[in-house]
Amino acid sequence: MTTSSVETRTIRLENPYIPKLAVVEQVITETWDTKTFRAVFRDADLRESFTYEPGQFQEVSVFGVGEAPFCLTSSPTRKGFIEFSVKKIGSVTSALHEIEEGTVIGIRAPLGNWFPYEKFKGKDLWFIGGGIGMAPLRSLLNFCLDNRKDYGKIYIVYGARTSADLCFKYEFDQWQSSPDTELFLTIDSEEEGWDKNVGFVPQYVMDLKPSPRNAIAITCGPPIMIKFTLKNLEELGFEDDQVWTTLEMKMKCGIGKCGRCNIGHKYVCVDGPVFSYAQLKELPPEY
Amino acid sequence: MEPKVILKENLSSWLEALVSNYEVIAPVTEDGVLVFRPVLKLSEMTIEGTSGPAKSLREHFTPQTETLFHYKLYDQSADVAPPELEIRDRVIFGARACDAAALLYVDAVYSNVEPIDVQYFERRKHTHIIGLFCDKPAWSCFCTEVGDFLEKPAGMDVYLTDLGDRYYVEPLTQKGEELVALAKTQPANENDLSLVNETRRKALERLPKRANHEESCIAYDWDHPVFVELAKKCLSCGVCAFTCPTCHCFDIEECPRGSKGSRYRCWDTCQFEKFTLTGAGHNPRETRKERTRQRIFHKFKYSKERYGMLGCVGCGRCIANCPVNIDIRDVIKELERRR
Repeated sequence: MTTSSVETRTIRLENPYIPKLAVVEQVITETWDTKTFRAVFRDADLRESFTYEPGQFQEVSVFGVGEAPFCLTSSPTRKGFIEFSVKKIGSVTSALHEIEEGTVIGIRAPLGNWFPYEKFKGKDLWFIGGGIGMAPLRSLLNFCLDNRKDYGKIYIVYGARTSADLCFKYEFDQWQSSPDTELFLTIDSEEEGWDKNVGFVPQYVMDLKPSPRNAIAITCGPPIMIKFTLKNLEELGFEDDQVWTTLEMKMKCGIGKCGRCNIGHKYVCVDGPVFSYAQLKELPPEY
Repeated sequence: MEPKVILKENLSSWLEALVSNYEVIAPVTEDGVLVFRPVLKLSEMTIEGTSGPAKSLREHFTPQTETLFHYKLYDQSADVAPPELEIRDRVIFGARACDAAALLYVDAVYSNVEPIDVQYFERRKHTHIIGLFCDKPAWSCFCTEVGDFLEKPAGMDVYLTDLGDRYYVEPLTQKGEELVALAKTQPANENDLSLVNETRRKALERLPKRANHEESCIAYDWDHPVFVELAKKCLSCGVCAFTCPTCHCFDIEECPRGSKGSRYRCWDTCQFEKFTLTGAGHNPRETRKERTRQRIFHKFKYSKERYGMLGCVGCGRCIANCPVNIDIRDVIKELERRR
């Protein structure tokens, strides 16, 4: 190999793939396979200035293992920390489940778009979540509860396989006791001591018959739940632009460059993860 | 900017002048394969009588693997630092029109949304391009079908055309003028001009006519049976993507070494099954039907919709290298025939 005599400059460039350091302050065990992590940035200025919008996500690094995307489940109205919920599924999520409070992790945030909460003002809101799909909804839900007067009635329909699979139980009381707010819980099959609904989320939504009048529905959960919930909301008379969801796709860069999270010409990492049903219908059915 | 000619006997001294100011990267025959490599002398280059390098310029702007940062872990703490980036002023000598045009597409991809890809653009900023007209297009070439950059070069500073005993030299930018000023040239005369036109006409005769894929792609059929057929043939080997000058997708992985390590990126392709497989097991492009459709639609439809340009420059490398003879020209024809 020939080498040129031309001067070589060695530089160190900050690049957008470098995470900011954060410390895990608290680990909350939600269920047998899900934990919520509360992290604070190490840099005091960043801790102070960092802000985000409900629905945005982040890339979390476990040094030595890798990086994976998670939605921010905390609300930007509650400052100084960020929270994200992790279901143990792959290498990064398993590594996260092993870490202890005080561990240093890396965070690239905020990424992606967010729920258009300005447009939701004055409307009744139906939050429809399934399993870990409640995590992104919780950010908007707590945001709306912290700005309670801006919104109409708030209904929360939340389901999981079993009662043990429900996350954020410690906030249920707070949610229910908020003015004009109702929480509807459901699990897939009968359980001893369970006095709430039994059945799948999409069917429960049908039973509850939400009125589409001046309402917005925000849903997230397993793909199959989203699919039937969207269908049922349509049947109930919700227009496509009254229904919002947030999508999960395989992601790496999180900034629209690595090329894997596209649906048609949109990248979920920068044009999403939040889409209205109307916007989704414009895209090829590949998610 | 006035066109000039440089006699081939003066090419060597131009190269010497370029080499003393820049790292010069040019087509070199390496183990029987034509690739872009740094050179010091004209004699190292394979510049004549070929239809262009087998590999694109991609590796010189985004290396196949590239460190994104280093980290070092301490008890309850960590250091994270960007990698050392070696930057030299470079000249790519003998780039083909397709490869130069492809860089403009990759520019669009890596700058479409903030933040931009700084490592790519740092290399890009310090690289100047002396292009070479393709007078011997390969059987697989179809650049003229997807653009007019063979005649009206894009993304170059200088355009050379081989006229036998000399090169016709067109400086296209201010930088191009500077590069040409390092050579012993003479003004081009009318004879040179007619010879250039003749050379270009001959090459163009061997190439297809411009098609309006930008318009036709709107009506591409999502469920077209051509993808069922492609899925039967395709091996998901990824050679199409790894030789493609506009393919830009990458994976990000970890390289741990005890308490320190690095995060790096490496080329990846939508043709691999795991490209879109989530941890939970869901895969929106589960079979080769979805994956081959993604490649074709991305090049010809999504790129047009997202960046306002086609994502294919017609270099034909995917055609020339495909082990099962998949020809992207035929696929597009099929998609547009059944409109």
